[in-house]
Amino acid sequence: MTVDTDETSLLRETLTGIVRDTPADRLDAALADFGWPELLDDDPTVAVSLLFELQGRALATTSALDVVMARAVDEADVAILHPTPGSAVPSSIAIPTSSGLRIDVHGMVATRAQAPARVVVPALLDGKPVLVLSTWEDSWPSSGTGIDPTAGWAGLRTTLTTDRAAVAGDAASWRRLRAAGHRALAHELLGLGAVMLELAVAHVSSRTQFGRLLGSFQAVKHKLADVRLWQECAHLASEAAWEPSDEHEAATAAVVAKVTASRFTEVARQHCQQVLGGMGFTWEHDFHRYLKRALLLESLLGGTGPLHAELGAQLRTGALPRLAML
Amino acid sequence: MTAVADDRVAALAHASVAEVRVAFQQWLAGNADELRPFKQLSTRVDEVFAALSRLQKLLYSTGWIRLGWPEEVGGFGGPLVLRAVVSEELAAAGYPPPFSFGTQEVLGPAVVRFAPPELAAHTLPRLLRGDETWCQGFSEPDAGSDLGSLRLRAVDDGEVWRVTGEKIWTSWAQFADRCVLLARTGPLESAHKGITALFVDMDSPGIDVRPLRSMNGDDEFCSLHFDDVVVPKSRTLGEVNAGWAVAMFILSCERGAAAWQRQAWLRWRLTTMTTDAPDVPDTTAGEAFTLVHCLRLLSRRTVRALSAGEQLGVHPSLDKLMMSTAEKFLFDSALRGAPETLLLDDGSSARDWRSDYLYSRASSIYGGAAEIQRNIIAERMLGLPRG
Repeated sequence: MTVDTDETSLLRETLTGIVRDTPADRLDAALADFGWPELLDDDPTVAVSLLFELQGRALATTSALDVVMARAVDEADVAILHPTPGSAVPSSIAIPTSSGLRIDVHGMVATRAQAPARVVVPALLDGKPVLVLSTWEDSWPSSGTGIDPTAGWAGLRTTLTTDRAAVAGDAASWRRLRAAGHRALAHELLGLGAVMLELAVAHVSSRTQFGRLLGSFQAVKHKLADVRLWQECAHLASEAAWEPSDEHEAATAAVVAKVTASRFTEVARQHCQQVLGGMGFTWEHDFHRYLKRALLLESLLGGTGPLHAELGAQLRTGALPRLAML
Repeated sequence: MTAVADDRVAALAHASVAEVRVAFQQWLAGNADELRPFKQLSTRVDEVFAALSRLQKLLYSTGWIRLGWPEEVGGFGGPLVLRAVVSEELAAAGYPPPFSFGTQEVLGPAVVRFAPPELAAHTLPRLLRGDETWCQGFSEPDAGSDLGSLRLRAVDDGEVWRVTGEKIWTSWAQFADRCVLLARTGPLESAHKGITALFVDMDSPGIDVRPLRSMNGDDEFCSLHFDDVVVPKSRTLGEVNAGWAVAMFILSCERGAAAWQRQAWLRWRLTTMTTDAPDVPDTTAGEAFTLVHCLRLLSRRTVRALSAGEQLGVHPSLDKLMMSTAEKFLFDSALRGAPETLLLDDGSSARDWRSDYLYSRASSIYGGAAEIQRNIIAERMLGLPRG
């Protein structure tokens, strides 16, 4: 089933209200009441694109990223042990032992009030990505750390022992899991970048220097025009990421969407900050909250450098599909 | 090879995009031996031009470039998007676009839309067939980015216009049979409201064409001098003093549909970069791919909108800005990855890389400078104040 355009705008309106007005600790429950999990089954494109963009706009946090990624490998009610910031490949290492596997877990996780019962750990086993599905008996971070504690992310290092049968997915499963994350993050970054650009446009359209509106200076216009260009590219790439049915094409289109959305927020962080002048450097102005959230999400599941390198390596071996056909 | 357009190609006008793509790919593969000479072109401009005219004629006689053009002007009908499929597959297989492909997609649609129907019906088939080529007389020495202040004057003389003035940066004018010319017909103060578009025969008495050698060594750009050139009123495109609409339509085709062809070519060039400049780091190659792919996404939207007859608005300015960004990045990467090839070698591949590198420097200038595109985006998309 897919949702038509009228329904989509109605959904957007309702979801906007929920994401904006619900306190952080009740947002997951409110989304469940609204029926977002069912929408995710019926029309993942609409469910993911609507929620994550709104999440970015409102700086909201939900457990939706783990839900969406787990669903891509037919799992539910699991937490994902994501790679460390910047890494596009698993940063946990699985080592075979006489009795099974020892996993040196190193990564980042979405915080939870209660520890999850089960986790999916992407890990490298003999240098190749695998997914390890394991029960979880350890403690779990309940509040965010680092540059943006409100984002609800924390680093995690521990050791896990499992039996061999815990290897529940191969490299293809990892690609599928990561692609689902890339698509969602692309939409969330679109929301973050849109607000940064709106804040900058509002500022330069109301402040004057030398007796003229800031936005009338060509140096200012040209910076914001570049941000607008990347916004459009990110928007088209994140939409196009839902087109391919072939798994390899879908994974590649998801990388392109994530890397292009990150490029948008990188350019927005740089240029919007500059034209906001001193105001954008204050705690009081909202800009820094978006900048910090963007820094975190740009790095999640691979920063632009590693993702570009992956695309470049595929180009070299002729494995890069053409994508976005007419 | 089939010498005359056969019914199978004509029937493809009503087939799906995917069917046309596969059929053309098969035709290209099946005729690879005969088409091979078009992959290795001479370095002499006149020889290149002659070879590409042969390619154009071949693609017309086999019917492929008649797909997506209206039947009234010599096409087979079908949606415009089919033209984009043919140009993409040609580039993907490593063939150069025939010169007039650029003209076709840039000037062809304007003549179909704005010329008197009988004039379009007479001239467009000749363009598609490769029997003639056209050029574009827009810029002047004091009217480049500020096109609205152009001065070349067309004076109303009863049944005819009398045209006097100068044009510059006209590509391939020395080979062109006709020119889409912007002329001032109102007072200079009328700016863009006093401009009329004319369709001028280049063999009219009083036109002097002087090639300007560009920095890659090609005689592509020309300056044109018009001295009391007589142009029949029947050669007026659109309404008198409404030439700005014609110009804007042509620029949107150039920034949009022609950009599709450019991205297909850049994508092919990207593949050749990984073999010819193996030291380009993966991160750089991947970034170049992303930029070219962004151009593809922008341009695909424009091609689809043109095909559906929708308004393009300011979107082509985004396409044009990304086109120059992607093109310059790609060739900068090639230079950094293979400096010895680009700077010292004299082999044919090195010469091509050098020429393409140098040509890419102009990509942020021609067809509306990057600064103008940024102004348009800032003022019309972000609503920032003019001036």
